[in-house]
Amino acid sequence: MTHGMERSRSEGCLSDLKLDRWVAGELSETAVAEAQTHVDGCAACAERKRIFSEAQQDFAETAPALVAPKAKRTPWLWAGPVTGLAVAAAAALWFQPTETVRSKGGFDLGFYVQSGDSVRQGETGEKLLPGDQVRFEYTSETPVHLTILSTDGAGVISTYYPVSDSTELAAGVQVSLPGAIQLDATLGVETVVGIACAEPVSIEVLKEQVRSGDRLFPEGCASTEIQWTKVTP
Amino acid sequence: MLRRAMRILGDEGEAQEVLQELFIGLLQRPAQLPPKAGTSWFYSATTHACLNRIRNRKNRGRILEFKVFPAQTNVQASASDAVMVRQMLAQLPEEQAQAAIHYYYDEMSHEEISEILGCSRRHVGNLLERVQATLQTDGGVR
Ligand SMILES: [Zn+2]
Repeated sequence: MTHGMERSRSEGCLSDLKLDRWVAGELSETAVAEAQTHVDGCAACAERKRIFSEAQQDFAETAPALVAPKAKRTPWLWAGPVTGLAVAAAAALWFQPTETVRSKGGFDLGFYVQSGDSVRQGETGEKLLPGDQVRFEYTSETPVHLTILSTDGAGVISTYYPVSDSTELAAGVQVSLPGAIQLDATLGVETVVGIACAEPVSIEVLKEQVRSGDRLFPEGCASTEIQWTKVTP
Repeated sequence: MLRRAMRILGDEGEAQEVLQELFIGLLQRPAQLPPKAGTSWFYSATTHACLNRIRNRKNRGRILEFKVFPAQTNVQASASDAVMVRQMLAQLPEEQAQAAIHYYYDEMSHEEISEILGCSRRHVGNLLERVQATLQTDGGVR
């Protein structure tokens, strides 16, 4: 088949990921030794290693100095109005040691709205229409059991996720949840709470906390809130 | 990262845009970034951002796709194949699409893919089998 989907590298060769990890200093000593042995005997990978190291070095040297506006074009840097910002961000994040400011225990919930034919990223506080479809996405640095509860304009609490039994979701960034919910005709402010727990938790327990307004979720749970207002077109 | 995004998207300008959006997003919402974000985290974030871009392209219609791709000569195989593959990626479920990108574009081993996706190697094998099945069906139609 010619789908542009054949793999080109021979089996023993180093993957880009391995090379990236190598130059980022993320490989163990044994792994480095193994990779070095391969590179010593493989001209193609030796050349790739050189290119990867150079790119990493350019990035490391240029980015923290915030001199991006005049940066030369390398695989890591690019021209454009927001380059300085983006590169600085990348550098700051990439080289940041273990301390990151995290507001919600590394968990976040976002959503997409399909309204008619258009799909857009939703923002908390926005106005939605009955019939709009909402799809959630989550970001979590650890595997989680996720529950999404909604309190609509009439005070009715419903479970948007999980649909049936709770399963553990993998860690990931902006991972879309399967399926979408279609908004009904109840107007007013709807509050959606996403609760991510390390262990499975009874949905009834969580619902009770949402209903009472206490929001005292079990230990090991992080929560975040989204609000929208349903209005008539 | 740019190199990867270009390979996946087949277009340098779009690859730059996607990465800039990703970085700016991280600046605005640092909570998205895990404390030990390393190479594999950036791989998976980039993959996800590229997939989103491919899907949005689909939403915007196909005109753009055909405008963008014929200009590409250095992308694997022929331009029309590349377009088809990306259209297929847009239709695959998230996990399968990610596995396909890591396998075909990144040429990772099953083990590396399982690390990035945070699942078992057997699951990776299953995902790729399903991708291949889709490829074969689509290839037949063509
Ligand atoms: Zn090699």
